[in-house]
Amino acid sequence: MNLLTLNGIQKSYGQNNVLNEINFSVEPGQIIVLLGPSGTGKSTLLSIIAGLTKPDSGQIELDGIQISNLAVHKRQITLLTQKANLFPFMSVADNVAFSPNMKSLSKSERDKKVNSILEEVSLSGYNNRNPETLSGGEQQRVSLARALCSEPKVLLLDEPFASLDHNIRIEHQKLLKKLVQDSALPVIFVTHQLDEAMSLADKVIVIDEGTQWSNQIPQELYDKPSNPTSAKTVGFNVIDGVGLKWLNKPNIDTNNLICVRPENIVMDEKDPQIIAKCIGYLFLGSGYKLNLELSDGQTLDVLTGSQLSELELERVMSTKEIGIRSDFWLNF
Amino acid sequence: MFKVDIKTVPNLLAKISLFATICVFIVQSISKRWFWPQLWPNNFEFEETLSNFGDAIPLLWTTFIVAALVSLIGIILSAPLAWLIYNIGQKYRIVLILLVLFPALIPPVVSGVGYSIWFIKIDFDGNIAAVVAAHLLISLPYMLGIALSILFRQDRELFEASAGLGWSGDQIFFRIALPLMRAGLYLAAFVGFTISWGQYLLTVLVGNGQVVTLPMVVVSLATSADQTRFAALVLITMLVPALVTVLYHKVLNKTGEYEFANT
Amino acid sequence: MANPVTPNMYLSSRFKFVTGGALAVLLIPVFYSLWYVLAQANNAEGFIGNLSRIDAPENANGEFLESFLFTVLLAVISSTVALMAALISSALLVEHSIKNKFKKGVDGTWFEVLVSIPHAVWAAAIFLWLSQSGVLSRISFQLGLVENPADFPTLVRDNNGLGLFIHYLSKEYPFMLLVLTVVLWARYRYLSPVAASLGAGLIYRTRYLAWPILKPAALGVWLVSFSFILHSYEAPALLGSVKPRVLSVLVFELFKDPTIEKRATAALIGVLLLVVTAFASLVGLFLIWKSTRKVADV
Repeated sequence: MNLLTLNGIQKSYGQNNVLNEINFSVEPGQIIVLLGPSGTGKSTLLSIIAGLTKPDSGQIELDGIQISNLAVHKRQITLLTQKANLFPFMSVADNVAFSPNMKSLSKSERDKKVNSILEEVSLSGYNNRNPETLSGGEQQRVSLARALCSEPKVLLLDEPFASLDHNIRIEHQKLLKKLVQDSALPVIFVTHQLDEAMSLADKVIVIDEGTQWSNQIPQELYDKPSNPTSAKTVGFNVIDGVGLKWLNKPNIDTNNLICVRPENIVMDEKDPQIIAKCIGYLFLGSGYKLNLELSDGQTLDVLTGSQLSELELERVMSTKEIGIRSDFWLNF
Repeated sequence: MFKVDIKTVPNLLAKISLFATICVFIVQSISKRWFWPQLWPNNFEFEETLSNFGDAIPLLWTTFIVAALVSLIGIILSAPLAWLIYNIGQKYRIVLILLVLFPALIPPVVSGVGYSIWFIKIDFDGNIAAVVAAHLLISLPYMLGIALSILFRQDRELFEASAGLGWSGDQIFFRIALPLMRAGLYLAAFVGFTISWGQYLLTVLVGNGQVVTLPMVVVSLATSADQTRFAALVLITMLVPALVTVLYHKVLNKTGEYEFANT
Repeated sequence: MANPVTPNMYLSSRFKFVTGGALAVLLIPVFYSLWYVLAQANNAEGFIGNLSRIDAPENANGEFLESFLFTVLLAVISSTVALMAALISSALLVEHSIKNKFKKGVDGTWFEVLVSIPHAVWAAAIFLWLSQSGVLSRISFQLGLVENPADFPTLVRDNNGLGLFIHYLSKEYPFMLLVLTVVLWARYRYLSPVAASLGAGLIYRTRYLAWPILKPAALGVWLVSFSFILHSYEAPALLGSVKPRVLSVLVFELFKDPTIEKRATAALIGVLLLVVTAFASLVGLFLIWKSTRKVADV
């Protein structure tokens, strides 16, 4: 049963169309990730769901009730952003207890609640700390604890871990997943990072230029995106097959837009499908990302699975023609 | 039926009180005799009104020059003083702040007498410079407060980065600190201007009757029979700072520094 | 390069000399006037003698105590009422700006115009509106509420200081509002949506978020307003009554008297005003410091 449903959400700022006909639902305990490049309307959408921005049209239903015209503080939807926005004149415990303080709980009930949540986010003993002395990661955990303490029906997260370093971010992702599992809280999470989307999401919604392009489970989106925009967002090479000089055509309609993942392309001099020239490369640690140019000027990225030797890399860079092939081309 | 958002009521009240007051003074300034209980005068005297406004021009000029000088000298002093206070050691900082704020603690009726005696002693009384100096002393604490608040909000790393690039302290002040403080200095200049513009007692005491400004004449005419002239002078005294306020906003808005000055 | 956290690092000797020197020159008349006033206050019967006989006929002639209480009360009440109004208005205006996503915060132009109008002029305007021959009185006549000017209540130059109260309220309120909205906008615009998202309504947000942010600034503007009203001359000269007179008016009249006793009394009252202001400032600064103390750190 859907807890939160969005129907036909539209928003423009002047001539600028920020959101076009956004429709999706969230079930209890589900993590929906909104994935897309920066500036494509994802944060605006969260702001609309939270009630901080009014849409031009569209409806939002929570638990079967229309909340489109409901004030922010009555929606029981909590929004967390990249900035923790902890209240600087309150201690960590007082920050976390912000919502419980509004209810008529006894001091002991409130303290028990706060301590329990601080323990869940691994911040036991931080009760009297000044928020401004905490690290970025600790501040985000307090912010998360504060949100959970407010017992929302839906939790919205707008790139909350973006400013944290890689290892801390992974820890926070695991923490979030555990908390969601334990509480069956539906979560809408915004990110522009593919790995974060894939690891967190039960469903991924790709949003680009204000338009919703897909609503798929991560594996499906990763392997078989339904359109070129979604494909590009999840890292596929998308090229126009018309006009390419195929040496050995794959078993797909090459007279259209076709796509392939960078890691699914191999260099094959013996039986190449197409000829390309290497115009640049990046060392990634686990291998190289080669940037290849095709005969008609289109470019492709290739991820080499194993480390190339310096000699091999030099050969690839100096060779005017490299043969490549893939058994995983996709049509749209 | 139009809806008034309660949150916009303060703004509405401000506008109504201003415009209503200006309108009443305009009517009074062009009326010959406006007796009680008339809501609208019976006789109007436009020639006398024009003459009143014309006579006010030298007063307007004197008042404006004094206020403009206070404002200019004030920011010339506030900027380096703010930089000095910002950079100096903690214990000297408190002393400096107290020293600059001290003139604001002394009641003008007291300081005015003292300043006038001092200026007589050094044969400096009864001139515009003496009045400017007196106004400056009362305006400087406020102007410096604004300059300091802007400076303390800056990221110290900007100055450290400049020093790391080989710039001297003076260069950092003129090339980095001053541009950063610009919006605050505009505000400080505006505040200095309006404080000086409205001064009455200090001008009376220090000016020694030689420097006559609009507020002085307004106060002296308040209980006179010539309410037409009084209203004309009130209008000028009221409208000039109002105009300066609006102009200040137009300048800041154009340079995009309004938000900066207001945060 | 020297350690970047070293004090005076960006201050050349020339800079310190020129700036410090300019300040010293500017402060000469200030210290002279303080010395002069203290010396004057010590004239006639000496400081203590003058103080003990401050209300004697040859001195303030019974006016001092009444005038002192009246002035302090006027300053306290006017500042407090203006502050209450400004606190509520600033919270409402900032919430309005947040809700409507105004990028530039609260538009304070009209309040700035009100603040920029000189006190003498605004007092004239108050007189014009509220005097027994003023605009409101004329409107009352047209409505049949009064038959002659004396029937209209005495709202200015009255013994209760009502006219002065209205004047100071209408001048201090916009000043306080301007300062408080700037202070609130700086931080509150980020925190208010977060709090609303956590379920806090307008009153709860104002009480538990806006007020802690505003407290130091509120104390500061109250102090500035209190000191200003205590020292103010122009408005009381136009709107104040003959008895009781506001202290500044009393001091000015006494200073104009050629007798040594009256001038000594004037100087003494001036010193007392300075002491009261300094005391209020110290108390105020202490309270501001206390309210800005950070949460204890473990």
